[in-house]
Amino acid sequence: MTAASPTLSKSGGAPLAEWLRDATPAFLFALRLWASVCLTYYVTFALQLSDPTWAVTTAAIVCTPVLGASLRKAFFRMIGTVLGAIGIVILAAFFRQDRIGFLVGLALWCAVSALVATLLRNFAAYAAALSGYTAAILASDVLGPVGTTSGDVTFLAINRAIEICMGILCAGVVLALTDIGHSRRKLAAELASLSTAIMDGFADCFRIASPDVAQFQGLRRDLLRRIIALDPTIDAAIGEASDLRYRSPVLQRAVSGLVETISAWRKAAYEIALTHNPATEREARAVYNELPRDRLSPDASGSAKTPAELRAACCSAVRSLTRFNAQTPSERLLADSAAQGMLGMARALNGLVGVVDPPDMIPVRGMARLHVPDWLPPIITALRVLLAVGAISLFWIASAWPNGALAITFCAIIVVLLPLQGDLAYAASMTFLKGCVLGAGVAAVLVFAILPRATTFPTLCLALGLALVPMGFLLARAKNPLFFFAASVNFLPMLSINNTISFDGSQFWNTASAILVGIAVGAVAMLILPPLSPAIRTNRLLALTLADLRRLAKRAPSRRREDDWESRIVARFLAMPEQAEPVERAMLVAAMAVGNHIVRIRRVAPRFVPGVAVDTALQALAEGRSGEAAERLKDIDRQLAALPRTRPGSRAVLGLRAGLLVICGQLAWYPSYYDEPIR
Amino acid sequence: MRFNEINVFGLYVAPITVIMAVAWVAYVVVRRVGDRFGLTQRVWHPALFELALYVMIVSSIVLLIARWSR
Repeated sequence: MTAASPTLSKSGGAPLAEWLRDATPAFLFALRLWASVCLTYYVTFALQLSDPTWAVTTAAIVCTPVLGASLRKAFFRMIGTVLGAIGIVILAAFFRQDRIGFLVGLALWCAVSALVATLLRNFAAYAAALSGYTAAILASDVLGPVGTTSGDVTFLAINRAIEICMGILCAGVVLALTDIGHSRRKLAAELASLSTAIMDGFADCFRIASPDVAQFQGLRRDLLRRIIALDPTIDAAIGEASDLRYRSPVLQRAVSGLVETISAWRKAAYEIALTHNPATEREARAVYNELPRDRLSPDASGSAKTPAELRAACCSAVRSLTRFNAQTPSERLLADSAAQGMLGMARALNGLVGVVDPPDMIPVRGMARLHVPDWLPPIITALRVLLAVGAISLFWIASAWPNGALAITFCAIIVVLLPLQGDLAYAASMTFLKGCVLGAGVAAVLVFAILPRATTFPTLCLALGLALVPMGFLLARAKNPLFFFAASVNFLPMLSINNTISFDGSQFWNTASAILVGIAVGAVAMLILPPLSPAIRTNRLLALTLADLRRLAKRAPSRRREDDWESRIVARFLAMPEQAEPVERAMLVAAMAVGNHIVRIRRVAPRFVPGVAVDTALQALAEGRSGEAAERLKDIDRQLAALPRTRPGSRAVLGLRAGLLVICGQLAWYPSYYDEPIR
Repeated sequence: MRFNEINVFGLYVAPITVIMAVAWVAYVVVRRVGDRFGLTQRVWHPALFELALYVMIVSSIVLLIARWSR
C-alpha cells in the first residue's frame, strides 16, 4: 500500500501538472488580451476620444497568441486603416449629399479591396481587406442613422484612424512588454529541419536509385505541405524582428529554393525509375558521390556544419556537378538535376543564414514579383462583395432602419475578410455568426447585470476581465479559434462603453441586432455565391499552366516572360487547393520542368540543329499533339547524337539531349494532359 | 510650454499626431541604420527594443518642441 501510494498520487497529479503547463501560455494570452483592452479604454478615456469602441475592438483583434503575428497584423492593420480612411474621404468628396452614389462607391471600394486581398497573401492580404472594411466602418459614422453624408468626413476619418491606431499601439505595448516571442527561433528550426529532410531524401534518391517511382512520393508531398506552411511562420518572424523585413527577398528565395530542390528530386527519381538498369544505378551513384555528406542538426545549433558552411558546400557541389563529365544524356540529366537541387538547397540555406547569422548572408536584390495564379477567384470575391453590400444598402434605404449603417459595416467585414479562408469561407462565416451570438449573450449579461454596478475604472476592468479572460483562454486553446475570436472581438462594440456610461436597453438590442444581421447577410452572400470548388480551381490552374506552356512552346512573347516561367508556376503550385490530388500537383511540377527545358532548347538547340526542326517539334506540342512532338524531339535527339564528340560545345549538346529526354519522358507520362484540346 | 493644434491643409489636428508621424519616419531611418551595423542582432528582445526606441524618439521630439517654444 505504501509503495502504491506515490504511484497513485503521481498518476493523479501528473496529468493535472501537464495540463497546467500546457494551459499556461493560453492563460497568459488571455491576460494580455484583457490588459490590452483595459489599457486602450484607459488611454482613450484619458485623451477623451469621441468613441473608444473601435479602439478597443482593434486592440482585441490585434492580439493573437503569437507575438510576431500580432505585431505584423498590427502593422498591416495600421496601413489598411490609413488607406481606408483616405478612401472614404475621396468617396465623400465625389458624392457629397448623394447617398446612393456614396453607397455604390462604398460597395465598389470594398469590392476592389476584396479583390486585392485575394491576390495577396498573409497579412498583406489582411491590410487590403482592412482598407475595405475600414471605409465601411467610417461610412457608418458618416452616414449616421438617416443616411445623409455629413460634411465633416475628413475630421471623422482622422478621428477614427487615430482611435484605431491607438488600439493598435496599446495592444502593441502590452504584447511587447509581456511576451518575448519565439517566431524567429521557430522559423530557423523549421527551415533547418526542412533543409535536412529534403537533403537526406534528395541524396537517398541517388544512393538507392530505386526503380519504384512512388518510393519517395509520400515524403515529397509531406515536405511540400510543410514548405507551403512556412509562409505564415516567415510573416510572424518578420513581425517580431524587423531586421528580417529587409531580408524578405532572401526568405522568399529560400522557399522557392526548397520547391526547386523537390522539383529536381522528382525529375531525378522519374529518370532513374524510367530507365532503370545497372548503368543508371552506376550513374546515379557517381552523381551521389558529388553531393555533400554534411548535414545541419534539426535546430540549427551545435551542428557539425553551420548553415553558411553547408551553403558553401552546396555551391561547390553545384560547380562540380556542372563540370561533371557525363557520358550519356541520362547521366547528364541526373547531374543537372542534382546541380539544380543543390542550387535550390544553397538558396534555402542562405535564407536560414539570414535568420540565424545575418552578417554571413548573401544579399538578394530586387523585389518578389506578384504572380496571379488565377483571376477568377478574386473576381468572384469582388462580385460577392458588390452584391452583398449593395443588397444590404438597398434594404437599409427601403426600410429606413436606424442601425442599417452598422449592419452594412459588419456585412462588409464578413464578405471582405472571410473569403481569405478559401474553401472554408461559408463555414467560417457561420462560425463567426455563432461566435457573435455568444458575444451578444455575454455582452447582455455584462450590460444589464454587471456593468451598472461598476462605477469606477478598476471595477470596469474587473467586469471586462470576467468575460475577456475566459474567452481569450478558450481562443488560444480551441482547435477552431474563429468562434471565440468572433465572440471576444464582437462583444466589445455591443457594450458601447463611453466616457459617460449609460445603459440603454433599446440601444443595446439595436446595436447587437444590427451586428448580427450584417454578419448573417454576409454569410448568406457566401452561400449564394460560394468560392470555386477545389476541383474547379485545380482544373483551372492546370489548364492555365497548359495554356502558358503552349504559348511558351509557340514562341515566347518576351525574354522576361521566359525567365518568369518558374516563379509563375511556383505561384500556381502554392495556390493549389489542399484537396488537390497528388497526381495533379505532379502534373504542375512536370509542366514546370518541361517549360524550363523548352526555354533552354529554344535558346541553345539552333546552334547545332536547324531552327525549323525545333520550331516544328515545339509547334506540335503547342497544338496539343504530344505524340508527334515527342517523335520530332527524338529526331532532334538523333541529329544531336550524330554530331562528332570532338566538336566544340559537346557538353552543351549532352545537356540538350538530357532536356529532350525530360520532355519526352514527361509527355509520355501524362499524354492526356498535354493533348487536352484548347478551350 | 504650449502645444498648439497644427494646420494640415486647412484641418486642425492634434500636435501629437504629427509628432508621432514624424517620429515614425525617424524611427524607420534609425532602425535601418541599426540593422546596417548589426545592432538589431545583438538585442535580447527586438520588439521591446523597437518600442522603446520609438518612445524615445517621440519623447525627444516633444522635449525639443517644448524647449524651442519656450
